Amino acid sequence: MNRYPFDADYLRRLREGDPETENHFDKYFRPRLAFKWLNRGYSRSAVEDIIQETLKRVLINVRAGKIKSPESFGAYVFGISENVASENGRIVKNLDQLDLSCLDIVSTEPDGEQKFLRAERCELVRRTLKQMKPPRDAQILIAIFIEERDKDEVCAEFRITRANLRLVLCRALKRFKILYNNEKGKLPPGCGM
Amino acid sequence: MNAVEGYLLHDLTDHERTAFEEHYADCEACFEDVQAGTTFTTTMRGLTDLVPVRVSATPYKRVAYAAAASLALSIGGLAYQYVQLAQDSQPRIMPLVDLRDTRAEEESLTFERNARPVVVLTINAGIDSPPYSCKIVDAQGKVQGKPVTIPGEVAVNFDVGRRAPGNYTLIVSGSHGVPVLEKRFMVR
Repeated sequence: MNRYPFDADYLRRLREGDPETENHFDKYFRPRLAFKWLNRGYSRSAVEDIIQETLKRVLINVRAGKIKSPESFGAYVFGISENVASENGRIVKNLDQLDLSCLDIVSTEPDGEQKFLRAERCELVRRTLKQMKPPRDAQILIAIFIEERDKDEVCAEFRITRANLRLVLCRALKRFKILYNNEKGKLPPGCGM
Repeated sequence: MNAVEGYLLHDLTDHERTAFEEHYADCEACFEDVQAGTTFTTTMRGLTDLVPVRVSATPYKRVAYAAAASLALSIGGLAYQYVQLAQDSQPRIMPLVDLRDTRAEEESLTFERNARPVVVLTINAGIDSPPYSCKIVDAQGKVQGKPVTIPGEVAVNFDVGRRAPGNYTLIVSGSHGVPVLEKRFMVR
């Protein structure tokens, strides 16, 4: 397992405001927290708020010397994030006179580069699906992710178990990563997922 | 086993999910898998050209499919599809009726009552601007069901197949009330 080596020295540098460490802290946790909350269905604006507040609180606690186990720093940051999200949820509930959709401001249109990268990812996903063996695997993934059908229903129809369903996705992801990394090798520097 | 895939499929319990998230906070390899997996699954959700698609037809469960399918193609303007929700319990292939062909656009359409087509229409955005209001009127001009507003290229579901046999017209009007498309069809 490839774990990032958080230790007392890392926290010392963060506490002392070392720019490189602070930059790493931000770049390391921002995407991880974003995936966590986006995966749970939070809007992008809500996720951005949670991340900002989480990173701020963690830095305050680091500077106050409150971190007791540097080696579990990642779990600590995620724990703080849970608290922030929970508090934000309570605040939103108290605003019940507002339509929740008012809080979810639609993001701006993707720019040209984003559209290009998205088109490229779409092509890789299509190729992944085409190359899947057996082809039935692709049908299963389409049923789950495009048709958004009930997973139990799909498993019953294709006569597979939920564990098999994970394996189908596992095979697709392996194929996708190979294709993606091959394509990334062909791209000019700076392009990527 | 396959914790990443379980995570992406929302198959983990709350406890397992939190534990896995705390794990990938530190684990580069697992986070890379989550990143790739999320990219794959979210990109897949946005693919609109994977039709025909097998559709299990539990009523009202296919709105998501309709949304994915209806984001399909636009030529020279705004396109949208109207989709009849499936009613039977058998997987099937949805027929695609492409009206972007000029000749087809001039023709009146005929649907079997249970045909459940996906129809792609072109709306001339130069006549009136979005959002568009879509309604179906019967031969007497009476509006059938509730008009639907389309704020751009967004899915709309018209339950054509449940209508009584007869002649109908689909009317799409722009934000200033100007009809930008009228399409006659018959249900038999």
